[in-house]
Amino acid sequence: MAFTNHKRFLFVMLGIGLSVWPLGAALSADYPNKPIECVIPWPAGGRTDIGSRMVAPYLQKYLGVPVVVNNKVGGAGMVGYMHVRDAKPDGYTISYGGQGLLVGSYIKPGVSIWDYTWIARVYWTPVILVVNEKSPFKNVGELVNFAKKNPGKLRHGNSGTGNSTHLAAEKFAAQLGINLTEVPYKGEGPSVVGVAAGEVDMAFGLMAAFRPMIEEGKLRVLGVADDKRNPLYQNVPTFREQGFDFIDPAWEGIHTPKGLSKDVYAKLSEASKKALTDPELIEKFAKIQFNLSYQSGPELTEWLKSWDSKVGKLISDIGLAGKK
Amino acid sequence: MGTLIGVLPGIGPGGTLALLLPITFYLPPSTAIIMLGGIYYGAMYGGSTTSILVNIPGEAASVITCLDGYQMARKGRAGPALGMAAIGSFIAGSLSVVGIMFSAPFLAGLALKFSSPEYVALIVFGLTLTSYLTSESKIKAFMMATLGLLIGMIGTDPIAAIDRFTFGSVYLVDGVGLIPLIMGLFGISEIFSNLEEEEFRSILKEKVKGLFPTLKDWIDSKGPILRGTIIGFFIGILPGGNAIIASIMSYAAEKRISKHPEKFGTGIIEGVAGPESANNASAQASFVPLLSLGIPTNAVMALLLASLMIHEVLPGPLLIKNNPDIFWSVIASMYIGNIMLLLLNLPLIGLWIQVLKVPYAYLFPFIFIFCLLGTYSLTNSVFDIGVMIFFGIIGYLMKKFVYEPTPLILAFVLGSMFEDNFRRSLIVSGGSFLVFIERPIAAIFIIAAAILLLSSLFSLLRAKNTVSSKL
Repeated sequence: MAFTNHKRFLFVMLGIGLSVWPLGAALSADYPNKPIECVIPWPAGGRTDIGSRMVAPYLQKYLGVPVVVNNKVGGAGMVGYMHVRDAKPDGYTISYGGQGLLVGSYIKPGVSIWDYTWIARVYWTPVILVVNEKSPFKNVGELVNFAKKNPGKLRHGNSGTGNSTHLAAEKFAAQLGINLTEVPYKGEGPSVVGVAAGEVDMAFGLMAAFRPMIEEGKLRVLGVADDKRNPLYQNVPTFREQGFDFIDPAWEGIHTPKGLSKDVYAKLSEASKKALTDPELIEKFAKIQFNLSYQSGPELTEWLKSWDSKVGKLISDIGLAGKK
Repeated sequence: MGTLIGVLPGIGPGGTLALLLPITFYLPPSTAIIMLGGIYYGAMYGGSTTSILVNIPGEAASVITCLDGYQMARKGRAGPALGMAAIGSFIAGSLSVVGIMFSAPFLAGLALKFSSPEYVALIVFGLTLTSYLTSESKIKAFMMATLGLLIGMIGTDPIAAIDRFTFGSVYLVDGVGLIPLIMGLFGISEIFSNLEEEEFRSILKEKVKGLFPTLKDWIDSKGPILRGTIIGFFIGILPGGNAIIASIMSYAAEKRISKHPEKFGTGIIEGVAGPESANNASAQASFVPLLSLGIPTNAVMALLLASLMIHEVLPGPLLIKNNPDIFWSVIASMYIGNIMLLLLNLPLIGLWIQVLKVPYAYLFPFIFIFCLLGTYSLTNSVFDIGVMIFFGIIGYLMKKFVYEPTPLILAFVLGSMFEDNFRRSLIVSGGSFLVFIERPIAAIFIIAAAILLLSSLFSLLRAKNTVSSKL
């Protein structure tokens, strides 16, 4: 009796499985068969937007369907984050980004990087430290010495409180036990002008942002926050060379809603890998001073685990953490 | 193309460029930037058309053109208004191009002289001009300006990154958008109030008098166009400048120096010529910080920067050396674009006038749809449409109680800029207010603002004296 019951149960399960299985397989087997929407939570023209629009044609090349960038703007990114999180995990909604999402998840809790599946890392580019041309500091050591003797005297400009450029400076200050005064600007452009005009003493940020003013001779680079020199600007010394173990990157990745089928995940990962290792695209990113550096989803996820807690601790240490 | 976009209310240059950006990937870089640039200044021309015809600004910077342009149209002088807007824009545009050509590198340096305290002083100066923006009660104007400041405070605090007045809504974290606000206060409210009137009414109250500006119009507009150009050019090259500020400043300046300030707002040509020139001069001058410093001054410039970068062209001091073809093709495109737009716009005036004869009952559904489309295209957000309708209702009530929306818009734009720069100035100066008068450029603006305030006080006193002496 018990045996037949068991058998019948197995039978039913098998039946359900059989009837459902071909359906699911059929759906993901011919993936992708329609355009893929790449959601960007920021307005067109921003750094994330530019990057995604550069990557999209290459994803398209390897996926065989159009990849359309769609800017879902609002709520400091929240509108776009939620749109992607709540989208169907069928591989037709993907997103490009990550750094803003991670930082935002601590400052304005609501979404977390763990609400998504990470497909690949797109770039990992270290921040640099710049000072005004008239600044007396010629290297990181001189700046740190001054800051130690004059707490709060040095002003660092950033692209907005809670932005990655702000956190880079706070991380630097915390690590070296120095005290800096924060001067936030509205966006990257004004912050670059701020340090170039000498309104603030120093700023952390990306080479891509500071490059025109460095060329103009208004800014001097003191160091790059990486363990080795950057191939795109070999002449800039690292912090480590100058005796400071400080590493801080800007990074972004491709992610999707959670719960992709294995098939879709594999296809999307494969296409991302091909796109992000395409020499043509690497060259394009290099031109705008970004290091395209592919990393697979599982590797990126592994790195994110430790990175997430570090960023979270920093944000709560400087008192910016929002309430849940 | 650009003109068409400018004509459609709400679908401003920003939205269009965002839509067209992907297309430009397949074009060579100089073609791409010329196309995008053409759309941008085309929209700047076209934006005035709807302001004049139906009192709905085609893009943000044309808000001020509504004041006199629409009144001109109601008097049957839409033709001269449109003509002078186009001619003024042409002259301003051409002069700006020459200015950019000869002084781009020097101007870039000037832009760096403007730090937070200078912006604060400039904004203070701008705000003292608010009182010239209204033809009705001054008290009502100040009430509106205060409301504008309050609306501007919605969203994330610029310094401490704390949410204000968002009521927990993620949609309000970025603040209220300028376009939904303008479209609501001007566009939707205009539609509402027109719905009250009889069914087959057209906007025209009087017979159309002439399509082209008369000799008198020319003489009246000469000064405003030149002054508008200078104001616009100056505001445009500042990284924190903005075409809407340029047009408002030009209008206020014209009213201030005019021999008959009381006529402003009743439909006089100076009120159209000046701001439209300033608007266009500023639009073209804003290429200076983009090309020479790699700094976008507004959302449109950010899109142009993006398209340059995607084409692997790096704006900055080395642009002229590394990519002279890009730099000069942009300059050439400005010249040609200006002439093309003039040639396109003048013959169209006759056509636009015909629009005025269309009964409003047929016209308003289209206007309404364009307002909706324009607002939605900006952020792809339905919430913004709600914001627009909400301010449409507010704007309708304001019309009923004779409150003018222009001071509100000005305060909204300048208020958040002021707060941001003011607080930053004080952080940098360590809390000392002297920073605003110690720096020469800032001091000039503060003194100018003070003189302006005192002079209106004196004229007020004098007026009182003459009244009392008469008694």
